[in-house]
Amino acid sequence: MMYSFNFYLKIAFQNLVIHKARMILSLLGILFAVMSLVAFGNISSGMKLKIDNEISRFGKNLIILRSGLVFITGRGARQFAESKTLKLEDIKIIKERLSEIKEAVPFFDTTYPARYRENTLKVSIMGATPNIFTVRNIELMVGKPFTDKDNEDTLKSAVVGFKVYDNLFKSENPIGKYLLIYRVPTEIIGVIDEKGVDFTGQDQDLQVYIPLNTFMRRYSNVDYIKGAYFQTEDGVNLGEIKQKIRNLLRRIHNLKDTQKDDFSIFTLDDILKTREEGIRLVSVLTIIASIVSFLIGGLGIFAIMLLSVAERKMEIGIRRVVGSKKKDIIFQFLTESVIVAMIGGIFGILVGCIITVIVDFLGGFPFFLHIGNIFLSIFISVFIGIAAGIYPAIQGTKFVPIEVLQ
Amino acid sequence: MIRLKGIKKSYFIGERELPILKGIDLTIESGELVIFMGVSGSGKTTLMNIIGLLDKQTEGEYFFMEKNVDGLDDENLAVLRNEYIGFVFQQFFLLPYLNALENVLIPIVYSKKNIKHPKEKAKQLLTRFGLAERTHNKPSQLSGGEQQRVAIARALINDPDLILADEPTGALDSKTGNEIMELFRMLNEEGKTIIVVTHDPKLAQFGKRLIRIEDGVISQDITS
Repeated sequence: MMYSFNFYLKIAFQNLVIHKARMILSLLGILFAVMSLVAFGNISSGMKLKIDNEISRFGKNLIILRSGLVFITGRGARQFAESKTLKLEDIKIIKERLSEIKEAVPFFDTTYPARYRENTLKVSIMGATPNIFTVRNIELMVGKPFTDKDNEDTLKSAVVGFKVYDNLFKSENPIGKYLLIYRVPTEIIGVIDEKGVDFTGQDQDLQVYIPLNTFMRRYSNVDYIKGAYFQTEDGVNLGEIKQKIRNLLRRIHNLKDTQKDDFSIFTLDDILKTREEGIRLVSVLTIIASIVSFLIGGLGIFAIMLLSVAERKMEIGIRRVVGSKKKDIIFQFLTESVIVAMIGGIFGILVGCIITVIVDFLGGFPFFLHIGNIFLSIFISVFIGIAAGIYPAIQGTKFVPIEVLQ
Repeated sequence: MIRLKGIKKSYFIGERELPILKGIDLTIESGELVIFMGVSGSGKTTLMNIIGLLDKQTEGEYFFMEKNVDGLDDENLAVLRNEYIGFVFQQFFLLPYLNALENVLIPIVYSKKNIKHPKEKAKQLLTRFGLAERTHNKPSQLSGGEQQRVAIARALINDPDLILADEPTGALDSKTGNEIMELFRMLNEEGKTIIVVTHDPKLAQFGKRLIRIEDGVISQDITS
């Protein structure tokens, strides 16, 4: 049995080699189908992995409140209309009233130029309470974060992002140096690890964090804030809390039923959803494309096998003469069609993985091998090989030896 | 080994019956070397196909190896062919993409005989037929005589009791043809039963027994 299987394999490969061009054409359909299935599985998994990483980097269980109107897109949140109605007091009330909220981080963010010696850099200033470092998972490369006392004392100290340090200080130790932010000398007390662009489209490495009170009194002299992060306990339904915050804030702001919100509340999920809708659309298209390619591939193999069987009448005849049974003939041709389909599948997996590597590299996604889709591809390839080969193989058994050997 | 009783064979073209064999009674014993001689259309190839279990008679009884084989289906006949009969054809019928050695090995794929070391055996056969240097050549790289010797090796690989050769020299020049016939004579001396079908009167000298077939009947049966 083993010997005969080896023999079939040998014959199958010999035929592949003889009819290279024809076989390559017939396995292209399967190749493309498997390629798109594998590449899509890998890339979308890599994208999800990246999103998961981003979420955990951004901070867990977060609800984001912003004053004014904010427009949510897959790339983040865009300010639509400003408002000055959100006060520090509002955040305190929300935190007190809603027990599910573990931490509240009021903040004021804006863009200022920062200067050190003769170098200037446009940075994002964020005045926030010190708990922002824990809530948003901000880890320092060097130095220390500011404290509640620093905030109360309105100390002019700053924790800067990696690029701020890298661009302005180069190799100099920045700790204890003074950065001119909006012409206010601010002492650098810490530098943040390199973080990249966050979920809302904000380059984390261009951030400068300073105590909120310092910002509101010494830099900007405002009595309102731009927003707040709320962190809930684990396992809380963020959607519900979002609604509670909204209702509470509308009451605090004395908004009538007819009036629109003068603030926006969203979670990372809201941003995620718009992204996932994109991925879902692509996934439906990919599946349709794969199915069509598999069908075309199957038809290609079917046609080639019919041709191959017809061309090899003599071979079938002589096999029958020397004692092959019908099932031997069927098995032999099925072996061939399955091998063609599997070669298409294997090259499809290879090409799919190459595409994955390229797309992951260009898109900055982590490489992920979607094993499920790879096994599925092999399974479907074998299935297509059998389905496309069975009819031609049965045709092959219908030849009568003494007729084809005339 | 072979016993034919009142074998008739007709083909039907539409309603018309075309009789090919018109009543053949024949017994061939183990160890014989028989030449079937006849012009084309005499029915000799049809007779050989029936003897070789490739075709079935319309009437009559056929006992092969003392067993009536008339009721057997295609699949069972295939098993008997594989076990007992080696075939040699005028056009050799070697598979073009397999080399000589692989062609010789084809019957092994379907064999239930459990031949030991089939590859070595195939090499021995080819060596014996003067093809030691040709084992890895494709049929297209071999001469007609060489191809026919590969085909004979293929017929022998599974240790058959009977060898059926249909016009084995038909595609060869007379010198090569004679060499092939000598080969059959040698194999017969080793104990194989051999039936050669031909239209060529010059081959008559190679047989121990000559059976002439004319118009679907045996017209002459001489044992020398």
